[in-house]
Amino acid sequence: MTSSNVTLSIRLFGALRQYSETQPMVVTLPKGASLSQLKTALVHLLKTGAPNFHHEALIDLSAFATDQAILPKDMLFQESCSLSLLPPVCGG
Amino acid sequence: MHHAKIETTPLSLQTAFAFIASPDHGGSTCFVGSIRQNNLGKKVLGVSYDVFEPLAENIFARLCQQAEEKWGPLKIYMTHFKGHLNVGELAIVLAVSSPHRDEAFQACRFLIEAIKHECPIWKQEHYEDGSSEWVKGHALCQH
Repeated sequence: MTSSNVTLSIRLFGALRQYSETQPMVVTLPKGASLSQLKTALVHLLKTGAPNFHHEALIDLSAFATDQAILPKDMLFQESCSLSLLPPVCGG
Repeated sequence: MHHAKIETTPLSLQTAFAFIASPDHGGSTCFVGSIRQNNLGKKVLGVSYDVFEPLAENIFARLCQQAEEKWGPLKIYMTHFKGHLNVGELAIVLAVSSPHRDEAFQACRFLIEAIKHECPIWKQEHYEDGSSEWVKGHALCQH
C-alpha cells in the first residue's frame, strides 16, 4: 500500500548545525507538503528536541537544497528525500 | 579546464598560478582571502568554515562555465578552505588567466562576488574574549 506521507531527512549547516551535529533531522509530512509546511514542522521538531533552540528567524531566512540545487519556492514534496537547510551564506 | 574544489589542507598560491599558466594567456590575476585579526571591533583569533561540499562544488563549476560564457577562454583555479583557520591563513585562493588582462580582472571579480553571495559556505569567528559567533550572510532563500 502506497504511503500518503513523505519522510524528509534534513542536514543542518552553519549556526543551525549545533542542533543536529551527527544525525539529520527527520520530518514526516503528508504528500504534497510545501516548503513552508516543512519549515513549520522542522521548527516544531527543533523546539521539542532542544530547549535552547532560538533560531526560528534564521530558519525563516534559510533555503532548502539538494546536492545539485536550491529548491524552488513552489516545491511540493511528492516523494521522500534527503535535503540540506542552508542559512544565509558568507564564504570567501 | 578549471580546478574548483573545497579543500581541507592549506591552500596554495603557487599551485594556483601553476594551474592557470598557459602559453595562450598573457593576463593572470588572483584574489586571496585571508583571516583578519579584527572584525566589527572585536579581536579575532581564528575562523571555522562550514561548507555543504557537494552543492558548493556544483556551484563552483557553474560559475566557471558562466565566466567563460561571458569573458571567453579562461583558466580558473578556485579553492575554498573547510575547517579551522588562524589569523593570516588562507580561506580562499582564486586565480584566473585569459589571453588579455581585462577579461582576467573582470572574471576574477565576478567569481569572488558570486562565491560570497551564492555558495553554501559559512564562517564562525572565534574571539579573544572566548566567545564565538556565526557571521551574518546573504540569504539564498526565495521562500
